[in-house]
This record gives sequence, structure tokens and C-alpha cells, in this order.
Amino acid sequence: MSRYLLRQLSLLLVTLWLLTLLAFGLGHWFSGDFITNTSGIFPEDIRFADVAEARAAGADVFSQYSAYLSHLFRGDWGVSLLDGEPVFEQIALRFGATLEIALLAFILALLPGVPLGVIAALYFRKTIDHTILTLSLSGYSIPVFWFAQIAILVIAIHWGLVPISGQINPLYEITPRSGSIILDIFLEQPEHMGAALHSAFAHMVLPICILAIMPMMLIIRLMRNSMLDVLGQNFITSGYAKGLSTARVLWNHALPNAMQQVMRQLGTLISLLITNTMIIEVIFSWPGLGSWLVRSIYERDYPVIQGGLLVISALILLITIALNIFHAWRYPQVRKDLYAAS
Amino acid sequence: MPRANLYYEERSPAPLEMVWLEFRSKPLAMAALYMLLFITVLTVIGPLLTPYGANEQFIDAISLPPAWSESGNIRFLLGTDELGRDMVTRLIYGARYSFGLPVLVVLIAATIGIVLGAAAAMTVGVKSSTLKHLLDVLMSIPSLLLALIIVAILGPGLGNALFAIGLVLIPQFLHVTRNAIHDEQKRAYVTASKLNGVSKFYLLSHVIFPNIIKILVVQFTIGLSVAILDIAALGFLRLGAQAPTPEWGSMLAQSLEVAYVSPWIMALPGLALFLTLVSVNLVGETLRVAINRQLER
Amino acid sequence: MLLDIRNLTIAKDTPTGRVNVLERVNLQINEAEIHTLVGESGSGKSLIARAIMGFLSSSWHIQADRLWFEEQDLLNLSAKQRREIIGVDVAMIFQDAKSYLDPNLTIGEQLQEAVLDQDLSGGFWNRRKQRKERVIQLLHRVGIKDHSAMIESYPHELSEGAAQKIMIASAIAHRPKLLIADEPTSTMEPATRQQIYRLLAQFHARHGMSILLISQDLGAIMKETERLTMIYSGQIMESGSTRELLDAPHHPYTEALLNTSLYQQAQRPPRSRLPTLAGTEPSMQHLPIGCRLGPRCAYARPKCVQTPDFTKKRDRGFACHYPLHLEDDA
Ligand SMILES: Nc1ncnc2c1ncn2[C@@H]1O[C@H](COP(=O)(O)OP(=O)(O)O)[C@@H](O)[C@H]1O
Ligand SMILES: [Mg+2]
Repeated sequence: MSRYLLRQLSLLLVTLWLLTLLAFGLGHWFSGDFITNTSGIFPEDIRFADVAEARAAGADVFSQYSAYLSHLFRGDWGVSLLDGEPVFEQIALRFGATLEIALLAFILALLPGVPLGVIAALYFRKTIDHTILTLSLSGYSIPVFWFAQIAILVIAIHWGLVPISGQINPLYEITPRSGSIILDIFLEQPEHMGAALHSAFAHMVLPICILAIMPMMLIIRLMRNSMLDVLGQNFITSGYAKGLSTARVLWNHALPNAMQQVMRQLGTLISLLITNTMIIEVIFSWPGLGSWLVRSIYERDYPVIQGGLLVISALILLITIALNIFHAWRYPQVRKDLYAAS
Repeated sequence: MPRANLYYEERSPAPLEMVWLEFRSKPLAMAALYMLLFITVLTVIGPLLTPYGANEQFIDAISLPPAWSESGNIRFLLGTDELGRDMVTRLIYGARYSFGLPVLVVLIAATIGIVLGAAAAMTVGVKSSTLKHLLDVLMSIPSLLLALIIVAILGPGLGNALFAIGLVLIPQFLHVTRNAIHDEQKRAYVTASKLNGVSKFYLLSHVIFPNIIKILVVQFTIGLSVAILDIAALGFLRLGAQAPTPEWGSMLAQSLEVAYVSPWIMALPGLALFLTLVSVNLVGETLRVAINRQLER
Repeated sequence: MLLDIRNLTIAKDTPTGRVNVLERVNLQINEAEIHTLVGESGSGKSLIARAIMGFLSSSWHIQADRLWFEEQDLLNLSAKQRREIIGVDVAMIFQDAKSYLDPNLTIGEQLQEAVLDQDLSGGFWNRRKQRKERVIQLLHRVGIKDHSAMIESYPHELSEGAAQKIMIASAIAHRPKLLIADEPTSTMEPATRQQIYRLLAQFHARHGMSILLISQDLGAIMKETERLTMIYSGQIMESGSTRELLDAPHHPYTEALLNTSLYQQAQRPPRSRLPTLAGTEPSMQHLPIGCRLGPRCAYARPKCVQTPDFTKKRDRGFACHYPLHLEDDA
């Protein structure tokens, strides 16, 4: 296991390093001055000369890169070209907001997704199976940005059940600390705590539900297919031969093995979730990383683009590697395959 | 010509025939196939069928609802948008941008990716599993994010969006091809051909390739689904196709201001997108099932 | 009679119509008997075993005059009742044992599942411990000394022989009345095979357990086998006590198998022609009508296109119109 852990961690380091190379390269590839692109300081600014020296302007690429790295590690990710806000602090704030809806949506997708997939597999080729499968395939094909608009139109505007956008009613004056609105409310301890929480939930419920749909549909299909695969295996038969009840065979043998196969494909799911989170954030004006990154692309706010890319990609890589490690730790026979492949 | 059945013989269907049988046995899959065919036809000859131009404006018919509602007009079957442009016409033109161009992009990306993947698989030096793991991990970065970055460098626009999506898809095809060839190379029949002394090129093109083409076809449908969705998403984020272009995603984006008053302007392009995606995904899924079933035998 | 099967027919729908894969199979197993079922691969041996266990999916059509286990009709029981009987009183060990072990659980965990609750005593707090002790006992009984390493192992770390032993341990955990062993040793080298056979014989002797051993090869059966049943292409050819059957086979198929066995061949003069059954076994789609051995049988006559009845004579039974060695018997 430790050997595998080491391999995965080095893989993480290498990919993260590649990522910094890419982000560094972006500074050069974007139009405009490299120093301005990475630091967010315009040449007219009086600080420009200092910054240029610190970031090794005019020197060779290697010293520029090492200067870039040292700034990166110091948390000096430059300032936004638009509003002069320090990128790193903004990221810390927006990270929580993004993680909040992504995580909640993921849980919301998992809860019905897994049982539905299992049910479909148990009723293989019966009406229930066909219904679930058809629904999940069509649900998977709904463009999330369209669906979100329709939901806003019907639920938020026509029926007026929930607010259209934002994290919370600004009247509550919650200062963002962690970015996660629920956490921030608890940190702030405002006068009308209950009302504030209610407002936050009302703002949250629509984006999270919409965000959860596509991953849920994917989980249903992944779960069904792997469950079918597992149910056809011999060790299920031997479970029955031992005299175990159907429930115990499913719970002890079928589910864990099916979950293992699903785990392997969770990467697709994460990437889907992140993509949709970015779009949903734009639509609902959710102050997360995604909407921030998209806005920075319109505005050509290069330091923000670099920072946003770095953080989102690093997050995904981190999750992927963590999943790999968890997978190998939880399912020991996988490690053998991995060694055999190496 | 029907096969004369002189002798009692058992005939097991050929692989392609089996795929067809799989489609035949599923009405929904069949419907998806016809739908895809319909969209393809629209993409190719659509502009010949439409009565108006894509950007032709009718001042007397602004924000007209579809023909079956009270204030609708039969001249505009699905109504008009806020600038008085016929929705049917725009949707049909949109098929070119939202379906035709993605197909082309994926075709190009697939060709490049498969050639590179085959080259990588056949070159001994690149066989290390480290590279495979590295690619595996890097592949987990979503395609839309990468496309966004490329668009950030090149600037918004349909051409750049297409280029970005194509660029993002190439490594996916490369990866799948390389892995498929590697898996296949371990099989005994490949070893047997090698022992027969066939050339490397023959091995690739006549021995391995026919056996991995199924995997590539499935990957093609996956790639197509991704490309359609991402190009529309970029259009929606106003980073892809720009304003007057009748691309479905950007049509959606433009409809937002008037969505409450005239919801059909928003609903229709999304519906078209949804139907296209459902068809592509259903066809892809059916292909996948049919192929898996063949592998089982 | 522990197991009594009369006229068991199992059919499957194929594109060319319904095919009786098993046709009117008769099989009786007494208490405390080792019974061996011999037939070529594809003759339907595993199918019989799966039918007894109730592991056939709904795509198979099962019909029988009797499928009795201890005077209970298995076919009339609900799935749950049936599983209660099968789970406790019947156990099965499978051919490729490794694939019958859950890859994600340790051997210890899987064996613990097989331990019956009624074998444990006291509150739940010491049940865990008791289960573990019982597992160690089981491992010792199948001849695995190093139990602590084995308990921690995962299936992929085992050899096929070790996995087979685990299957046996799991099977005997219930102290079943009938153990079905489906070609348990066909992938093993002779030394391991003898080891497994010795184990089975031990349990038979100690607990009076009946064993239905399934084998492809007359030459590789247990020497303790009391009765033999020959199956060919889904039909029972002959059954009887081992000694009588081998000394004076009534059925041409048994005789042919005996002639082709290595033991007989060793006694032939040099350069003589090896006797074999002509032709190949029929495929499921092209089964001959009547006696399925007909086209390959050296003694076949026109009457053989009618399915012969299963004739019982004292302890023996055979399905042939023209039985051999019957005169000297009468
Ligand atoms: N899942 C199945 N589908 C179709 N035919 C099967 C299946 N399993 C077994 N058969 C057929 O049933 C017959 C008996 O098989 P089996 O009992 O496994 O033979 P044996 O164990 O004697 O080698 C064979 O002719 C085989 O073709
Ligand atoms: Mg068998």
C-alpha cells in the first residue's frame, strides 16, 4: 500500500507541477505584458517597477518561472485587473461557495441515484428497469443551462417560490468569511438567525436540485450496469449456496462490489459536476469560482483566469488522486492489478 | 437476396447485423436513430427547405407565439423572436452550427487522435505505464474548463470555440485508441499474426483495427455528445457563437431578456438541443450494449 | 433415500425451438453414500447440480415427476423455504472455486458467513469470537495449518487448490447431509486431487455425509465411490454399484468409456488399434431422436430411434434396448 501511496502522491505532484507550467505559460500566451498578466499591476502603476523586478521581467524564462513559483507559494497570486482585489484572497472566499453547492448536489444525486440504479438492475429488462433507464438517459441529455432557465422561469418567476439569484437576501448583511453561506451565517451569528438560514436555503435549493440532476442520472446508469455485472458473477451464487438471504447477499456481496466499479468511474462524475457547477454559478449569480472564472474570461482579467484555472484543476486532480488512493485502500485486490500493470 | 436454406443450418448473425437487431428490438433506440437521421438531413439540406433567411426580420411579426396559440400566425409555425425572425428557420439553420459543426470537429479530432494513438501504441518507447497513469489523471479535467482556457487565450468566437473543443477531444481519442490497442496486443490472436510474420502496418490495419473499431465508434458518440453540449454551453456563456448566428446555445443566451414575455424563444432552441443530445446518447448507449453483448459471446 | 430425482427434464428455448437439454433424468442418492456422476463435458452434469440447488434462472424450463430431498418436494416449495433447506442441508463446491469467492472480502469474513447461528451459544458479545474459533476449526479440518495467514488473505492471493479447500471448508460448515462436488479437481494436478478426495472421504466417514461427485473421467473418480451414474448428452445411460458396473456394463456407452480408459489400454497388445467412440458428441441444436448415443453406438439398431425406458434391475438401472452382459447375469 505504501508503495502505491507513494506512486499516487508523486503523480499528484507531477500533474500539479504541469499545471503550474501551464498557468505560467498562459501569462506569456495571453495578449499584453507578461508582468501585468500575472500580477495584475498595469505599467502605469507606480508599483510596476518593483513588481517587474520581483517577477524577473526581462530575465530568462527559467528565472521568471522560479519567481512565479515563489510568488505562488507565498500566496501572492496578483490582483484582479478589474477591481484590484487580491486573487488569492478572492479564491479562498469563492472556493467555499463553490464547494458548498457542488458537495450538496453530489450528496443529493447520490441518495436517490444509488438505490434507483440497484432497483433497475434487480428488475433487469422489466418495465421498472426500462422506465428508470429511459428516464436516466433522457435526464442525462438535458442541457443544464436550458433546464435551469426553464426552472427559474416557472418556479422562481411564475410561481415565485424561490429567489432568482444570489446566495442570500443582502438585507441580512452576512460578511463572507468562508464563502459557504451556511457556515458564514453561523460564524456571523446575526440577529435573525432562523430567518437568515431560511433565506439562504431558499436561494440554494433551486441551483442544487438542478445541479444534482445530471450526476444523479449518471450514477443511476453506472450503478445499474455495475450491479448487473456483479449479479452475474459466481460469488453471488455461492452466497446463496451458503444459505444467505437475498438481502444479505445483496448487502454483503453485490453492493460493495458494484460500488467498487462505480468508484472507478467517479472521475467522469466529478468532472461533470464541476462543469455544471460553473454554468449554474453563472446562471444563478452564485459567487463561486466558476462564475468568477467565466466573468474573468469576458473581461480578460488574466490574473484571475490563471488563478481560477489553477485552483479548479488542482481541486479536480486532488479529488481524482484521493479517490484512487481510497479505492486502493478499500479494495485490496485492486492494488495487485495495479502492481501487475506497473 | 434471401439465403436459400437448403440444409438445416444454424446461422449466427454477423456483428453489424447484431447491432441492427439490437436497435430493432428497442423502439426507443430506433426512434433515436430516425431522429438522428432527420437532424442530419436537416443539417445537409435544411436551408433549401426554409421559407426565409436565418436573419430575415419581419417588422410586422415581432415576438409572435407559435401558430397554434390564439395570436399565432400560420406563416410562422413556431413563432418569431424578439426581432421578428422566424423560429423554424433559425432552428433549422442552427442544426448546422449545433450539430453539423460538432460532427465535423469530432471527425477531425477523432482522425488525429486515432492516428496519434496508434502511433503511440506501436512505438515501443511510449509504452510506459507512468504515461498512462499521467494521462488518466490529466483526463479528469473537464473538457469545458480546458475549452474555456483556450477561448481565454484566443478570444471568444465560434471558430475559436470549435478549435478549442477539437483540441480538447484529441487527447481523449488518443488515450482510448492507445489503451484499446494495448489491450488487444495482449490477445493471443495478435501474437499468432505476429508469429506469422506480418508487417507492423498490416498488423495494425488488418488485425487489430477491425477489433477496436467498435470501441472507437462508441467513443465517437461520447465525443459527439460532449462536443454538442460544450459548443452550446460556450455559446450560452457568450464565449462561442456570437449574436446573430442562429446557434442554439447563443439563441438561448439571447432569449434570456425576453424569456418571461415570450417563453417559446427560450424553450425551442433548448428543446432542439435536448432532442439532439438524447438521440446521440441513446444511439451511443445502444451501440455500447450491443457491442458488450458481442464481447460476451 | 436422501435425494430422489425421477424423470427430470430441463428445456431451454433456442431460436430453433425448445430443446430438452436434460431428458428424463433419474438419479437416486442414499444416505451416507458416495455417488459419482460421469459424463463428457457438456452432457448436462452441472445442470443437474444447479437444478438440485435451485440456481437455474427462469429461462430454463424444469419438469420432473419427482425432485425430492428427504421426502420433500423441492419443486413445490417457495424460493425462501427452498433456500432454507438447501442452505443448511445441501452444499456445493464448484469447479473454478476462485470465482466463487468474493474478491473484496477476506477468507475469514467469507467463512464466518457460512457458520450457522445455531452452532453458536451465548449473547452476541461472544458470538464474534465463537465464529472466529469455528472458522479456525474449519480451516484445520480441511488441512490448512497456517490459519491466521489464511484468514487475512484475499481470494486473489490464493492458489486454485487453496481456494478449492476454502470452498470445501465453507461447504462443510453447515454439516450438510448432501455435498455436491462439481468437478472439484479437474484443474488440479493428481497429487492435489488425491488430497481433496481424501478430505471428502474423511468427512463422509466421520459425519455420514452423502457426496454427489461429478466427474468427466472414469479414470479419475474416488476409489470410495459406491455407486456410479453415467450420463450422455442429457440422458442417463446407466447407473449401479461401482463394482458391478465396471465389471459387467450393461450399456454400450459404459463399455466404450471403459475400453478407452487408460487402464484398459495398458493391457492391449502393442500396435493394436485404440478403441474409441466413433463421431463426436451432438450439439444442443442437433440432438438425435431416441437414444442420443444412437449414431455413435456400435450396437445400434433401427429400434434405437425410440427413447429406451430406464429399466431397473435389482440395484441397477439402464436405458438401452439391447443391453450387454445381461445373459450371464440372469
Ligand atoms: N447458460 C447457458 N445457456 C445456454 N446453454 C447452456 C447454458 N449452460 C449450459 N448450457 C448447455 O447445457 C448443456 C449442459 O451443460 P453443463 O451442465 O454445463 O455440462 P457439463 O457440466 O456436463 O459439462 C450444454 O450442452 C450447454 O451447451
Ligand atoms: Mg460442468
